[in-house]
Amino acid sequence: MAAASLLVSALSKRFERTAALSELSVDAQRGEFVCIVGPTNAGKSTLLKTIAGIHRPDAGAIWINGRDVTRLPPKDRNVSLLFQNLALFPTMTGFENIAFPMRIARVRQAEVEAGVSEVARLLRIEHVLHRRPSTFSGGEQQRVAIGRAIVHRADVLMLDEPLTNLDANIRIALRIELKKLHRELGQTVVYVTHDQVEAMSLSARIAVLHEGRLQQFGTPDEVYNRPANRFVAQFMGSPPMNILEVELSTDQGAIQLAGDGFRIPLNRLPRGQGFSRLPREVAVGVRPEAVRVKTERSPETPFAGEVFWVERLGGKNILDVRLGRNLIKVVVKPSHAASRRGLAWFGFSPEPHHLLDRATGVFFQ
Amino acid sequence: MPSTRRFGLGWVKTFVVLTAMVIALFPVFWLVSTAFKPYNEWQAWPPVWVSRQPTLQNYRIVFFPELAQKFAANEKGNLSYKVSGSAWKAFADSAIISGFATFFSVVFGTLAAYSIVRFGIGGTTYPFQFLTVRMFPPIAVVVPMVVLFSALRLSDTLTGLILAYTAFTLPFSIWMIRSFIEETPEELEGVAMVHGMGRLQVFLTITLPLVRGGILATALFIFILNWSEFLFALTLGGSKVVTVTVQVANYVSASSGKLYGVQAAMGTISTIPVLLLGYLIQRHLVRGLTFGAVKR
Repeated sequence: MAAASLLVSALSKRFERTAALSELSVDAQRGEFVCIVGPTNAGKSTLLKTIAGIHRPDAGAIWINGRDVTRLPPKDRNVSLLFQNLALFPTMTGFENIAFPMRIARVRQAEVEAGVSEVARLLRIEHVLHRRPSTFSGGEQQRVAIGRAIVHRADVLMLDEPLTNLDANIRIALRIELKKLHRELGQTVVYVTHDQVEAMSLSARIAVLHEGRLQQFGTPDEVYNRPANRFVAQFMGSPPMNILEVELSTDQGAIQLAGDGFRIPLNRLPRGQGFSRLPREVAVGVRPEAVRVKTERSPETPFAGEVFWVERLGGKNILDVRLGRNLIKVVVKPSHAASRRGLAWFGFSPEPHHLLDRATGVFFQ
Repeated sequence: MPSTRRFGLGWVKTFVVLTAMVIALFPVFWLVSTAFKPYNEWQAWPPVWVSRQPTLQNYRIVFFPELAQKFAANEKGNLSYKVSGSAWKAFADSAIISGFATFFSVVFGTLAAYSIVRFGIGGTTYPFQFLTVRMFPPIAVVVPMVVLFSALRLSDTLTGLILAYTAFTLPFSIWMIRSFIEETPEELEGVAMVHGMGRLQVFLTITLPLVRGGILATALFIFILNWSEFLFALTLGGSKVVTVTVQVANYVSASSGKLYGVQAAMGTISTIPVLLLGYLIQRHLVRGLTFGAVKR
C-alpha cells in the first residue's frame, strides 16, 4: 500500500435510483499509467469525479499517497482532472486558462510564465496562448485543457476521454504525445476511455468497468488474452471475441468440445479444474484472429462454414461466417482467397483458459 | 419559384409584425398623448388623437400642485380638483420598495437557485412547490396578509411592503435564475475546485460572472413587477406609504371623476425609470450566456 499513489477501495455511489459505482476497487502505483475502459454509462467519469472529490461516495475509501482523502474537499486532494467536456474558461485566454491552477496557488508571475511556456512547448500550443477558447480548433482546445491539467503538478493526474471527438490523425498524434509526456513527467495517470485500442496502447494496467462494477483489472496482455468474463472478452478486441456454445465430453480421457457444426479436442482442462466438477454445458471463446481459414478441406480446417459477408478494412478483412447455427467473425489478410461469399473451411484450437461457464459468463481459470 | 414565395411570405410577415406593433404600442401612444391634453380633450368625441392645444398642466398638477392652481385660473376648460398625496413622495416610496425588494428577491433567488441546481436541495419537486405560491390569485391572500401585517405592526410601512414584494417575487427569481445556472457547465466549477478553490470562491468568481446577464435580466423583470404592483400597495400601504400606482389612483376629483390627463402624465413619468434601467443593463441582456469553449 505504501507505494500506491492512488488506492480506491470498495467505492459505491448512487444517483437517485441508479447505482453508478458498486464496490469498486482500483489502484495505481507511483508513476503508473492506468486506463479505465468501459462502454457509455459504465461509471468511468463518475469514478474520476468521485476520486477528485466532486462527487461524494456513499461508501468506500480513497487514499492518495497514503493519505485518506475520502472526506476532503477537492482542493485538498492535490489531484488534477481533465474533464470530458474540457471546461475551458471562455473569458480567459489560452495563457490564463493554463495558468489557472498556478494563479490559485499564488505562484509568482515569473514562475507562472515559465510554467505555461514549458507546457505550451510540450503540447505545441504557443500560438494560441493569447487567444480565447472560442477561436481554438478542436485539437487546440484539447491541448490547452491538457496543458491546464498537467501544469498542476498533482499527485494523480486524471484524464477523462481526452482524445475523444478528435480527428483520427490528431488523436493518434496526441496519443503518442501523451505517452511521451507521461514518460517525461513521471506522474501517476488515471486515463478514462471507451476506446479499447487507446487503452491497450497507453497503459500499464487496464481496469474494465461495466455498469459501475469492476470486471477485470490487469495488464493489457492479461485483459486481452485471459479475459475474466464474457463482457471483457467481447469488449476488448475489435472485432470482439467469438463465444461459441459447446458441450464438454470425454472420450477415453481425451477432452472433446462439441458445438453445432464442429467438434474439437481440448488439450487439457483449465488449470485447477477437474472434469467432474465442470458443467457439461459450457462455452468457448475464440479470437477472430485465431480462426484458421482455407478454401479447401484440410486437417487444420476440418469444418465447413459459409462466408456471408466480407468487410474490407484495407489492412485486414473481416469475414462474417455461419458455422452450423453459430455466427462468428474471422479476421484474415486482405489477399486471403476465402475473402468472398460462399463455402470455406475453418479450424481453431481453443485455449483451456478460454472455456467459460455458459450460465455466469465467467471464464474457468 | 422560391424567391417569389419568399417575397410573398416576407410581405405577410411584415404586415403581421406591423399590426402587432400597432396593437402593442397604441396604449403607450394614447397614454403619452393624453398626458399633454387639456381637460376638455380627455374624453372628447370624436377622440382627439393628438392634442390641438397641448399643455403641461397635467404635469404641473402631478409635481407642482400649488403652481398648477395659479395656471388653472388662466386656462380655458378649467376644472376644480383637489390633489391628495405627493407624486414626489410616491416616486421615492416606490423606488425604495421596488429597489430593496428586487435586490433581496434576486439575492435570495440566486442563492436558492444555486443550491437547488447544484445540491438538489429539497428534492426534484421543490422548485414546483415555490410555484404554488403563484398559483392562487393574490386577492385570495390579501385579507389574511392585512390581518397578519397589522398584528406584526408592518401595515403601512416600507419594510412591510419590501417583505411582501420579496416573498411574492421570489418564486420568479428562483425559477428564472435556476435556468441560467443550469446552463452553466458544472465542470467549470469542478475545474476550479480541483485546482484549489473552495465552493464559495467558485460560486463568487466562476459561476456568478457567468450568470450575471441572466441575473440582471431577472432583476429587471422583478423590478417591473414590483414597480407596477397595485393590490398589495393599496391594501398593505395606502396612507403613510403611497406607491406610484396608488398615487395614480389618487388623481380623482369629486366633481369630474377621474383626472385622466393627470393620471396619464404620472403614468408616462413612471415608465421612465424602467426604460432607463433596461437601457443601462442592455449590454448584459444582449450578451447573455456564451460558453464557447465547452464541448456539447
